[in-house]
Amino acid sequence: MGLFQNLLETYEKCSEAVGIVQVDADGNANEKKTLLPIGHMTFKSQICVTIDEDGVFVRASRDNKETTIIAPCTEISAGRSSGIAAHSLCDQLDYVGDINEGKIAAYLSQLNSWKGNIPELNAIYTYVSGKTMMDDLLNSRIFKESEYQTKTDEHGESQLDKEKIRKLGVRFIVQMTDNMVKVWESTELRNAWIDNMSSNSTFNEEAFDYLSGEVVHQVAAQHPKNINSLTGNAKLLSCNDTSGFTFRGRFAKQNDAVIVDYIQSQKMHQMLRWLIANYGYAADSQVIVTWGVDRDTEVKAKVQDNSLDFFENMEEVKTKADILSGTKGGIYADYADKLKNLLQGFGNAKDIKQHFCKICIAVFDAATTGRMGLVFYQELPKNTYLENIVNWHSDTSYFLTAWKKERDEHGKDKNTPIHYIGAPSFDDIVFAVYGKSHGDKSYEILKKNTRKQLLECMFGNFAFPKNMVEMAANRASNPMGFMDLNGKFSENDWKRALSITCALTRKFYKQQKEEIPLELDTDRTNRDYLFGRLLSVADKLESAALYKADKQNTRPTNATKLMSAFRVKPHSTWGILYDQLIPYRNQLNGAGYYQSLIDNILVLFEEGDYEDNSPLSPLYLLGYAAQNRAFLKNNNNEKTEGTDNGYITE
Amino acid sequence: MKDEMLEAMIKKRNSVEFEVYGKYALFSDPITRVGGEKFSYQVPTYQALKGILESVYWKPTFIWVIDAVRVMNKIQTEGKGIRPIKMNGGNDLSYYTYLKEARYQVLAHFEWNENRPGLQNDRNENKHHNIAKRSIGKGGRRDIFLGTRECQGYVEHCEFGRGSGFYDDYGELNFGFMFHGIDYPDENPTKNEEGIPLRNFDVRFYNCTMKDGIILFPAPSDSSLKRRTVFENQQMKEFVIGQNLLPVETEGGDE
Repeated sequence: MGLFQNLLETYEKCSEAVGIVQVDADGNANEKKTLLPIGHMTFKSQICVTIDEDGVFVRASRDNKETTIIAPCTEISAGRSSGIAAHSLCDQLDYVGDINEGKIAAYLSQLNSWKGNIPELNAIYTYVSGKTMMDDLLNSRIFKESEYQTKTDEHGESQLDKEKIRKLGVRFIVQMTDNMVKVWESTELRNAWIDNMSSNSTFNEEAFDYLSGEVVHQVAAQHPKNINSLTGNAKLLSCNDTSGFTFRGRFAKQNDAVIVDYIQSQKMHQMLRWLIANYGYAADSQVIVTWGVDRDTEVKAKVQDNSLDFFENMEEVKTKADILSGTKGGIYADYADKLKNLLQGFGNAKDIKQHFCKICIAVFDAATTGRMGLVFYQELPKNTYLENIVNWHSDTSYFLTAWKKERDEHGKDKNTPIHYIGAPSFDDIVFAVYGKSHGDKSYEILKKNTRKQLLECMFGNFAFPKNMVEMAANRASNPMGFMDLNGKFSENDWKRALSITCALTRKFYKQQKEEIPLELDTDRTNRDYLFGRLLSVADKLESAALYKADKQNTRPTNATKLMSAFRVKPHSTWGILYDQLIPYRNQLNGAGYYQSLIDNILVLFEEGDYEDNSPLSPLYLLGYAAQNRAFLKNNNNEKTEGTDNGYITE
Repeated sequence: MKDEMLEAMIKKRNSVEFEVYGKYALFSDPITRVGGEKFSYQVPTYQALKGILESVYWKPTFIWVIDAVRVMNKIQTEGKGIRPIKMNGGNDLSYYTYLKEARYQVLAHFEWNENRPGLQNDRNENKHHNIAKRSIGKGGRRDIFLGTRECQGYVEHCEFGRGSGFYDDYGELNFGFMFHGIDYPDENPTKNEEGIPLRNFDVRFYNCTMKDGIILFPAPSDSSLKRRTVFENQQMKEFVIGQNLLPVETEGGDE
């Protein structure tokens, strides 16, 4: 089904949650995260007026801070800017106080049209039409000094500055015989307003709603904005182009081209707004949202996460054994494999059909401020959705490290490295391909484009883009380009980028039907792979010598420095590098182990490959990293204890 | 299975079959289209396929009726940033979302246009049928495009149901409420009590379901369609044989 139909269906399935206020972690209500009833909006109110059921003033109070309430509104009042358009129940002093004749009249006539026999509404109507509110509020002394005029009149009394108080929002509490009714929270009043809206059938019966095919009660003349709060003015639907030719030509008027029912439009927009506020994943003007068309719309499996976070989000796998933190020996949890097993079990359980659930993935973006477009939409059965993600996580897996924020025993924050085999997150990939953000907008745009590309790639629409692999490989081949804030070589960043690049390279070759194992493949005779291994040996030889001279980590090795040149001209650079290794080889008494390793690698080269001086493909990084890992492993076996510096490669 | 679907389908004696494909396709959803940010339906609309066939071969004597479409490739989308030119100068910015690597097999036949009784002499079924088949073989008489003008398409002869498609064993897929087509005034079958065509401009919607990759379209006159009359009693262009229309007998085909 289309996006709109699915949103409508989701709204129906979530009907129990409509209007129930979500409470944030700090205990404050968060109306923005509340699924609003149709025909309602959030409204900022500061003044609370209590009246009794006969419409007689009881008391008034004022909040220090604006309180956001859910209040009924009309289609026109929801989008009002200038001009007169009253909300239907709670409104600003401008409308309910006796400040503006026209506005209070509009408010009263609107309230009159739907109050029926509801006692609360009648009480409010009686009170507001008595026009005593301003006096009552003055007597209650709820205005601040700054809201009075500086000039005093002949009695020495200061008048209210009406310009300053006009916009204050008013809400009502009606004191009934047995209880106090907060009108903005009353479900009965909300339903009364919705019923009133639905009964206002103004259109001929032949028309149907283009979203759902249902009968039309009231044609939506304008659609809500502020669907994604980051692009607040952008509308998903709009139909007001009276000068251009988006629909004119074949059609003359908006209603000829499209008919959307106000109620259906409300349902659709309220649902989408809520989904984006709660589950949106935003970059610049773009937002990615994934939800299940079900009672519980939250999709725990987030596509953009790395394998580790992804796993923690899946409750079924959250067992003790899976969460490895602060492990010493660099034990890697292969999340992709585990996930696959889990899914296979899930598939056999025959309950997929029973728990059939649709997952929708939608990406919205706004090219201009006023409109937003749907740029990607896919609807998948839950198992296909998970399969796609699992494939991604297994194809893109590599040895990665994540840092988890934890509290240590002294209550301080510390970052614990967690090693895992799995896929990097979307933003990790952005880091490997484009580097770090310098806080400018162009980076956000790169980020959003990459996210969308990766999403399209994950759900089978695209092959993994070669340019991304190439770019990441170029960056990772230039270790000296990774600098920290002080302009020094940042080994951390480089190694992170390197392992992510390896993950991407594996994915890229996998899609060319070439599977490259995670561990070192000593039989592989591919030229790029072998040159990568050679570079790693040179690196290791030098650092071993430095270690022996107790100068480890004082400077990057020659192999690291020459890496970018090595990639472009492997054969000639290897000659230079080999010569530079002479003093270190001497320090290590000839370095027999490394020398024989180099010889073993050289033997594997096929005829003419070694002399070939053309640039290396990204595959050499896999050879480099795999050889590094092999050294690390040997080390661990010898010492039977690992390094705990958290790096994948050493 | 798709074969069961194929067996249930009845080919008419004047049926034509063809395959149409293109790198991109955009069958825009009318709801997003009016705002300027076009988003494609997942599958072609009846009207888009009818338009393609009319580009291949059409005469006012008959009306093409699309019986079925078979979706061959996986439905994939690709969003693009577009710079549409405004009529009053300047440009706009938009995002359009296209279908990628679209390929469809289509089964269709033609029926005489009863709103044009003056063209009765042109109703030579055999000849029209053969010209249409030859036109398909040549790739059509006019430009083919998939939904929107920038999505160039190509037409080839094929046997409907031949070859393997992505959705062959997929089962049922529901696309919900979507646009079916337009009844233009000169083809609209609606008549008043006296039997005179009303010449209305109607839009039709339906609930679209695809089974094993095949969508069986309800005919435009089907009562299950939701129909809305947008404009009443419109003008229609007159065709007179010999004046502004070549009789089919002297039509040379496209040789």
